[in-house]
Amino acid sequence: MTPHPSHGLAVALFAVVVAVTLTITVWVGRRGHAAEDFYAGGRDFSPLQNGFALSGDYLSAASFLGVTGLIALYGYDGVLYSIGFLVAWLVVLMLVSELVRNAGRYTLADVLALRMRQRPVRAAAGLASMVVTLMYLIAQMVGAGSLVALLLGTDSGAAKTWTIVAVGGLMIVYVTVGGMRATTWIQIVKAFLLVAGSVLLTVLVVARFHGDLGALMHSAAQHSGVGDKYLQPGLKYGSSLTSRLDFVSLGLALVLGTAGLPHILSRFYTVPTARAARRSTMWAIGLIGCFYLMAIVLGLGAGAVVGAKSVKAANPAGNTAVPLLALDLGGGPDSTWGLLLFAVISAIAFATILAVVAGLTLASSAAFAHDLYARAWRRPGKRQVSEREEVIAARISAVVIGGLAIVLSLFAQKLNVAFLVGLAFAVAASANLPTLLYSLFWKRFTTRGAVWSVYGGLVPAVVLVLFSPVVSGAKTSMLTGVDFHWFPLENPGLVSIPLGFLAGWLGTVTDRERADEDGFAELEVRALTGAGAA
Amino acid sequence: MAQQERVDWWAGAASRPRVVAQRRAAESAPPEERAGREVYRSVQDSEAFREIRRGYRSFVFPASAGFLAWYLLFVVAQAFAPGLMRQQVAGPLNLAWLLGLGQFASTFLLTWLYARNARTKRDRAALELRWDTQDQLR
Repeated sequence: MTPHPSHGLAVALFAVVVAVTLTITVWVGRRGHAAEDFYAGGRDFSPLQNGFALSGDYLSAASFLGVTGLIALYGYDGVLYSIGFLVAWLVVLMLVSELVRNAGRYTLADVLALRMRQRPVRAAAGLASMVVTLMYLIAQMVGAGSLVALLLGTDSGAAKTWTIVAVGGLMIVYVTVGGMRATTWIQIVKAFLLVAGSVLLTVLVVARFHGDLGALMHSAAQHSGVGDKYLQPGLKYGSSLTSRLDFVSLGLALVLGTAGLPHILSRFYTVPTARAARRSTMWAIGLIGCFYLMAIVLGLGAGAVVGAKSVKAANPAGNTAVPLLALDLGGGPDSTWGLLLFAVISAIAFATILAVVAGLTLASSAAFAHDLYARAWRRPGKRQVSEREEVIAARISAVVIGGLAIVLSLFAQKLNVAFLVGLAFAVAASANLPTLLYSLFWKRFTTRGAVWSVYGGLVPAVVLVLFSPVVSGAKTSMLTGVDFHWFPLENPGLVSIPLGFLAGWLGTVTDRERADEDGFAELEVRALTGAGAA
Repeated sequence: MAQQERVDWWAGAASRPRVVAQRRAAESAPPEERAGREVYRSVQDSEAFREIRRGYRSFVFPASAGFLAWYLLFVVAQAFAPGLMRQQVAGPLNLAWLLGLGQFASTFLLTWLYARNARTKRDRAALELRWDTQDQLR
């Protein structure tokens, strides 16, 4: 597949996306300049709005283009990959969303600080949150660079570099000018576009096969080049014991990581009550579940209509499967409808990228300004940071974090995007989730336990990756020519998640300091009833 | 509930009444905060609160253990029993597809069950206890 002549139209639609999002930012960002507006959008979004925004934050370009591409190329194993992303939401719904909404104010560390000595736990949780969001951010921006270049039909390094810089610049503007309110509206618009685009394409695929999904599966298998194996497990994750274990590790990280992602947790503070947080999570589960079901149809459709060979030729990871499918469903590269549909789907993918990076930057700047700068770094008794100063610090840190993400992304361009996302989930599951769950449910949990469980998950996760085949010793490694790897798996979750839980337990039972029972009483009552909630 | 859920998104943040959160700024609590903590302790010990916590935990803990085990079993089965997963069951669907779609179904089902449980078992009691506690804190 060579570049298509429709890029002029795609560029025009990209410009429309940028114009609309900037208008939203300026329009919405004028209202309210308090910390509550900047971090939590004034806490007055409705469950439906926040449900869309949650889906918008969660369904990145990696889902829209990556998962469908995986399904197009690897059939069943692509579907398998997507399931973990959905099931994870049950953890969020049942164990986290309502309790976090009631117990916290703006960040994950707020929940911990309610019953722990706040400086050490804020330092630990703030740092872990920044690491997770930065990794996720780099994944999205590296992906953005290659995706936009692909969609625009160029392969030049300069195009990728400028895309990363432009996406980074835009996200800084969204966050510093518009704060959470603008970011939320951008997510809502993006999620709506994403769902509408997916519904349209799904209807077209199903119509092409006259409503016969069995025929769709058979046709996709036929065009895959591997026959029935396409519909069976093992095409991507089954070649060796190591790769199977790697998949188990990834699955564990996905299902436990979502509930520890800072940009998802901060979404629950944008609604007024815990009940609204629950209902927004239910909307999100409905939207995300339907999206992944449609992704199966789209992936199989791309495999059947475009063919695995052409999909792979356009991009080895399959990232352009859906845009190519759109081109074909519209009538092919020579038809007006084909070109239009291709441009529209590309623009939706672009909007997806912009929205997700904005949410991540905001969560990262909140972790820095609210947890580290304004609290963890202040000695008790000394002058404290005012709310106004804190928001200014948050805006400045959004600029700095955005700039840092741009620079790191430019260096990380060779890294595999799916791997980076999996890693961010693994770190969130190892460092953030154990601490959060222990704090919410374990009466005896102490400050030292909280600090140990953050570092006890964070450090192993990062160290294991350094000594994994991702960094050295394999054909696809970051560093070539050296081999210092001894950890066989690419995803550290299988080891680092249990270590995070273990460290939290060990830190608590060996602690001579007793748990703060008053603090736990306040946390429990607040979390379950909402009494005294922000 | 109604006044809780009402959303006025055009109103500025300042025009809304806001519950002032109980916060601990320094490590040592001032006297009025210690009083607040005693309120929380007594609410935590109350039968009404225990009932809410029981309603929450008795659903959430088994349900979480259940879906996590079901998901992990599903993932581990791909890795270590691929032959079993390849069994054709119905039409083009083999066992792997069926269980995969089953994960979607069970996720939707549990979401609905959880919401129903929360609505019928604890929402009303939790709200009453919230106002009650906040009155005591004043």
